[in-house]
Amino acid sequence: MIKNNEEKIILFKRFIKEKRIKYVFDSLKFNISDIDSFTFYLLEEISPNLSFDFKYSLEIILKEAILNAFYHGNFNIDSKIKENDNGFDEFHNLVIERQKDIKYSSRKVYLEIIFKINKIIISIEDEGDGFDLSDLEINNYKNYGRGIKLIKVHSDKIKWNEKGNKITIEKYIHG
Amino acid sequence: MKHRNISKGVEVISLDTYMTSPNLSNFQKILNLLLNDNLSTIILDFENVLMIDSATIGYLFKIYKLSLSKDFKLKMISLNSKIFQTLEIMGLERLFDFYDNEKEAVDSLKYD
Repeated sequence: MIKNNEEKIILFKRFIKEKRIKYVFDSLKFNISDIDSFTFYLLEEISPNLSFDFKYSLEIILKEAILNAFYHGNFNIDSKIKENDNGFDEFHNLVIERQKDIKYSSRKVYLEIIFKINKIIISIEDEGDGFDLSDLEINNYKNYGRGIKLIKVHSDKIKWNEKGNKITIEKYIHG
Repeated sequence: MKHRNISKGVEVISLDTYMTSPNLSNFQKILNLLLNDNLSTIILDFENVLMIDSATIGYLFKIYKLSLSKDFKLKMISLNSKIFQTLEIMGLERLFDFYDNEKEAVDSLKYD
């Protein structure tokens, strides 16, 4: 029996177990001023039908994790600089400096988004040296170090690989 | 991001829709411009703010520390529930004074 298009789409969607999208980002072309529009359009492309709250959480997760991968992973910059008087400027000047150094600028960031029936899994891997998870200090009374906490709040599960250069975040789709 | 003087030493900074890393440099420039001997109060207007990231939260904490060292008052107005929740989760809501609107913040100056 010939089915109409809507029925075919439903059958097709039932047949799919998961959907994977992969992106590779270039450190040389990384520009901080593009991060807001980048995550906004990325979400429009990958998840146009998700609720506002869900997209809001994904936007924060992606923004924080991608910036961490560039700043602390590929560019190897410590957020403690932000404690200095002109710390935010120093931090961004160092990003520009590192982008001019091929050791750092040749590194990539790999983003994979896996859509399952009940959850979205986001993996972000950088080409930095990784970090020791025991060094992860969350202190509400410093000028830095809140990104991971924000990711935790907006996700359901979070883990790193042993080297500390790949973060995997799961967010469940409820209802 | 804009700022305006509403009375002697009282400045209002109207924050952008996305208060995220790209806007911090501009925020820092405006703040440095306002930090002078006449400054008594900064009112941060969140009416247009839809999103705030960890770097901006860090910067807000830095402004809080500046308000103590430079002796000016810091007030926050018109936060939506998501932004307030985020500050709450980060444990910063105890540090700031929040008001529904500019009038309430200005009126509160009489009792400070």
